[in-house]
Amino acid sequence: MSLQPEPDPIEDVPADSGPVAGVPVEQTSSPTVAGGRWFGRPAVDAFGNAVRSEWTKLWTVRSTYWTLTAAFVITIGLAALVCAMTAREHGDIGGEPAAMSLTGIFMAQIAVGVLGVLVISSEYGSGMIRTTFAAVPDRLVVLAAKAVIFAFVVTVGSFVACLAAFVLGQWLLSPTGRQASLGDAGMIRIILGATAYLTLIGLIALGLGGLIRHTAGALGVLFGLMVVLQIVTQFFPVDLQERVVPYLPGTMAVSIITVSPPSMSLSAGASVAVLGVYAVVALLLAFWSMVLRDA
Amino acid sequence: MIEVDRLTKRYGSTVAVADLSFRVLPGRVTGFLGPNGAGKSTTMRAVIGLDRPTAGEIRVNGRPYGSIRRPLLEVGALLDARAVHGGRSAFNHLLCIARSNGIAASRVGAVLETVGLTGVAGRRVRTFSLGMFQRLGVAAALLGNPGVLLFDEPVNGLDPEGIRWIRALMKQLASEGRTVLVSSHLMSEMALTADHLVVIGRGRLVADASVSDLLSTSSRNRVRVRSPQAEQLSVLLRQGNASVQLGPDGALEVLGMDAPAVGELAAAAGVVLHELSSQRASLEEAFMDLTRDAVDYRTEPATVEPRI
Repeated sequence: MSLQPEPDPIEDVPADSGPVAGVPVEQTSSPTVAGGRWFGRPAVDAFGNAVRSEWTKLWTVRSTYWTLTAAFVITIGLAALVCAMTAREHGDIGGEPAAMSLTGIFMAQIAVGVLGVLVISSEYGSGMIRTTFAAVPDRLVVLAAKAVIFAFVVTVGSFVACLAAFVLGQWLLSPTGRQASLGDAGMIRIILGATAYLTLIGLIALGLGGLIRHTAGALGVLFGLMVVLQIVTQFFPVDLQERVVPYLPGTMAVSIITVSPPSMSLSAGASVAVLGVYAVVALLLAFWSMVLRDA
Repeated sequence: MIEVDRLTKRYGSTVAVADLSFRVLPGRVTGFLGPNGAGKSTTMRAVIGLDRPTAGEIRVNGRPYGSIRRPLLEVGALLDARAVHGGRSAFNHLLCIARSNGIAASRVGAVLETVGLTGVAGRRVRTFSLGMFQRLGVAAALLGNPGVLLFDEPVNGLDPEGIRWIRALMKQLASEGRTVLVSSHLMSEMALTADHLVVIGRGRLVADASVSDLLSTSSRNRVRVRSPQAEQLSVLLRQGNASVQLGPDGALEVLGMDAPAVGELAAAAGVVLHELSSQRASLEEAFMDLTRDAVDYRTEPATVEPRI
């Protein structure tokens, strides 16, 4: 028997209605709708509230700043390093110029993966997940809100970092005369592809964090999938390699950031699509784990 | 109101809660008592949907917790005070929770004030003492100004001032008409705060009664009587079907007869009494009686195997 009327309008808990102040205050129908401000939905919007909460969570822990800063520094720093070194050699640059300026994503994916795992595993590790589920009982809403906020931040961040790495790298390569420019065929596709690559790797990491719940365990599995699988398949017979290797997540970055993909890899578009499938599978596994296993 | 209806929860082959039913009514503090491992925390976790019942159901204000759109406006829970991300400040921790239910950010400052953490609002909670964690947990529970409150062992780690504060807070919340369920394994704590008790042992309901009812039905209630004619009196009492024990100080401890009856019996026989008093069992003793058969980790009186 709640003493309050059905709490319909959002933000209807007056600041001064603290229990210690006395009788529970009649909740007023305040027209200042917070949930609608961002999402343009007038009604109570559980998903909108969850997204707002996840946004606040993401930006109120230091690991977010550390991992995103690391991803930026690595992506842009490695572009500068690789392209500057190559330019010093003059003449033959031994690779596609766009790919050279985006080599940083191979390391940046580690930082993005760590952040993706932490988005969920840090809550299981601390026990905060129980507070989260008490506040938002629908696990699907929680997972979707986390995934949406994370994907948004990583997409924007990766795009800016990849664009900056490309522009800086090509500028540094200009003494060789072999530099690419944004207007060249495939360059926009490569930058968007690299952005999508980092975001999807991050979402796979987020899914693994929800499935495994332990930061170290989820990271171990993630890099097992990214690195160890590739090493293992080197010992396969060649015909089997040709059928398996293109589908390994670790081979996809190369096909995404090159104009002409190397052998044993899918096209850039197909790579992004397959990676997307992996991300969906990882998120479904996370959802399954969050629903079936007690918090 | 909370209605627990035939709740059963198994973890593998371990039965944590077995066919447990009780109701928690508004306007009073309900103590939820049981020895360690009795299933108190499991039950509370099930109330707010963290554990899925193996069987049975729980309704809060008439419906399952999971169907409440903005649950923090109806139910506030402090289950594990340390279950917060240590890297966030107290303010930001509460802000994250507030946003999830569309609660105004101004409430964060208000509840921090209520629990006395305003001065450390900006500090990362990793640096908090257990008592401060408890206060932060209470603040989180109060954020949505809910009509139903759950506290799992809230006095753990609090200093005496903090304990007094939380007792007063729980009583006030109940007096405002809220439903307050407080778990503890300490009977003495409940004696000071609770109006009603739900006692469980090994996941089963042992008692669901008011504190005074629980005390009056305890087998430890007895009558203490002192008389210069103690031997004559004890014969009379035994004839009246009471059981009599000689206390260490020479007084008689009478079970199975109340004080007026003992007095009338003595008067009729012309026995002089120097003392006649009802000895109420302490809540602690009543609790021990109730849960004697339902303790998981009991310390048996030490016995020595005979050597052959």
